Amino acid sequence: MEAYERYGRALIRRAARVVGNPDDARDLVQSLFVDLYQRDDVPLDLPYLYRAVTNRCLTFLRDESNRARLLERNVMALAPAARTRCDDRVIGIDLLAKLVRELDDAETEVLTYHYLDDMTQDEIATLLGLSRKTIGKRLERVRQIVRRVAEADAATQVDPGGSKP
Amino acid sequence: MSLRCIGEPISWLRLERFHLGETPGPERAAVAEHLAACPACAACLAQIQDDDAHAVPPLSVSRPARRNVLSLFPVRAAAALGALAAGGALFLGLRGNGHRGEVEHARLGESRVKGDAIAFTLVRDDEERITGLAGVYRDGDRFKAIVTCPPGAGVAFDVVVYDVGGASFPLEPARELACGNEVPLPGAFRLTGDADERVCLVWAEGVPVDRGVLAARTAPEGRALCKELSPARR
Repeated sequence: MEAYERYGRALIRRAARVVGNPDDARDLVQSLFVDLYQRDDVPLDLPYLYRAVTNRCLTFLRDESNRARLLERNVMALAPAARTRCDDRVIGIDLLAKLVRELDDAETEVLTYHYLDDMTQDEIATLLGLSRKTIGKRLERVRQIVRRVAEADAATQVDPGGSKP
Repeated sequence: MSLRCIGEPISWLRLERFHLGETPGPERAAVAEHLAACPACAACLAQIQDDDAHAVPPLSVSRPARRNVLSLFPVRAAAALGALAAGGALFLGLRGNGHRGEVEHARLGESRVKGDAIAFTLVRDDEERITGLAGVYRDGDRFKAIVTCPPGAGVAFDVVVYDVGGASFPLEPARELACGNEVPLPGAFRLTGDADERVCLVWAEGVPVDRGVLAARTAPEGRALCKELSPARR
């Protein structure tokens, strides 16, 4: 399969950045190509495949048991340099695992492209076929949720037992 | 991990396309210029280049010949299968329409089944579910088979694993499975070695699965679903 040969490694890298586990990344990419192969219309287009893998990764992360296992097995060496941060916070697998519970699918996708993939709003808009304004709104909502989750985390760390005055 | 981009980062997708030579001329020059000045982005590109030194893992599936049983692959021997007791996760999806007397060819890759169809899932012991046609295993991984089938279907199930040494039956046949949603087959099994494996769920209505027939073949015919498992890359 030409597309797999050409883009397979790039897509596995991409999946590994999201799920933090090379074995799961490989499974996700292989399952994508198996499904595409069945349809007999595999596109030779990296952006399309990149988005398809992204959606598979996020679906995978939405499964609670997958999240728990990934957090246990997260291979930190896979974590890329965090070039784009949200209020100086790095969106890693641990934070992403929490955010997928708080954000809807569209917001999670935009979050991933911006904070994990370092895409600009224009680049995301082109990839998704949406306006930059729409991407901006979704990112603003993402920022709000990130702040809320981070603040909740900080509160938990200060008062892990939830003690009352 | 503390490197900061000097300006606007070159996204990973753009870096991948740059690495593949898919970046259009003018943009390519701009990306190259940025990379020359930005250690953070250059480090990301280097990461891509280093990783690309590894070959892409083989895709363990062939183009379906409009049938659903993967019978095109030579399956190498190397699986040692032993009955064990604990669950893990790998999913096989299959469905059958239950038409009496008809030979059915399982539709590989369909892990969601509606109506009176049957779904078969393998679960690896780290709870990983592989939903596509192909999956990977690590030496010693343990799997449990889970079946969804219509209550009262009266279906007997078995699991057969093929390699060049022939057919192996790692589980006791489930002759009277109480059908329902995601019912585990009794026992579990382990895959060892470093070769590709073909794991199939087979079933029969009203009679036990004929292991003699299965053992004489290199792939099941009729009511079955197979999945190609390849060893995880070290």
